Amino acid sequence: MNIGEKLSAFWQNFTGSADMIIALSVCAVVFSVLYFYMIKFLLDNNSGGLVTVFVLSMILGAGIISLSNMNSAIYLVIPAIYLVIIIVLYSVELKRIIWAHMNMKLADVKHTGSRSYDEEKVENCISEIIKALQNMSKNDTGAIIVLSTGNVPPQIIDSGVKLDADISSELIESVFFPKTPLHDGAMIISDTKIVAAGCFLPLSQNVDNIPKDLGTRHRAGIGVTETIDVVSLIVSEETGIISIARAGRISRYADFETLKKTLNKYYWQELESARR
Amino acid sequence: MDNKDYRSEQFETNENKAKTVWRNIGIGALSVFVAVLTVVVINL
Repeated sequence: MNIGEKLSAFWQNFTGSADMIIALSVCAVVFSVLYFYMIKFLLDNNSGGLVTVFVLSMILGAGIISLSNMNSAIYLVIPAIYLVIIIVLYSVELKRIIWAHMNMKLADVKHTGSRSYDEEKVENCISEIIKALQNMSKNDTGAIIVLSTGNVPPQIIDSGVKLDADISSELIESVFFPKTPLHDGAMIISDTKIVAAGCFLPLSQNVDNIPKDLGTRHRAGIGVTETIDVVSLIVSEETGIISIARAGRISRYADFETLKKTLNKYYWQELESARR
Repeated sequence: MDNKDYRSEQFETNENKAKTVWRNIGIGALSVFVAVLTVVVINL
């Protein structure tokens, strides 16, 4: 059979019964969804070339199989090979996506409970954090503080030293004082406690949108917000500039008002939603 | 050395939404094309 006859036979088969139309339509939708996420993932990870090769190989494969007498099921080998390539080459990125999805669900669960906050204690925590940030900024002491809602994966917590300490500016500044054992990692704060310090954070893989003058500390602060719903407060060791990172984006030159607003939102978001 | 006056900047709170929408439409169209090709070829 030549290709015209094959296509004609396919069309007759397709329009032959409603069941066939539904079945093939469902197949097309399933494949469309699969290819959509594959192509989007590759484009998001700067692999446009691989997308081009994938589409060209699918077109070429379609031509070869339709013109030959090969079993047409072999065609599925092509997308299967690309799936394997994606899993092998991008295992780290896939892990982050799964991680981020799991942590988003965990964060939702954490937010639905109502908590009673001691206002004075929270105001004290906010002022202590801001005081520490401003002192470290003045002294050009590098720091990363991650504000979490208990949604930081245990792997990150376990990479540092657990403290479970009350928040005080003296403790924060001591942790980040140069050459102390915990100064090189991130501090994780959850509610009114310093959970851990010296933690290692995933670096941002976004090379296009981050200013080149930002170093590894800022990339770590941004990177953790790309995968988990947290806020990072970063003090630059070179310039003393305080930056705030959220959802993969960074805002530099945070002043007192911005820090207060950020911390108030962090602490009182839950309280406000419980009041509604 | 950065001599900029240290003032806070606003977050870029939104991406360029229209650009994202068109990008997703383009990816969707390409996906549908390849999916239809797949379904046709495996049923030939």
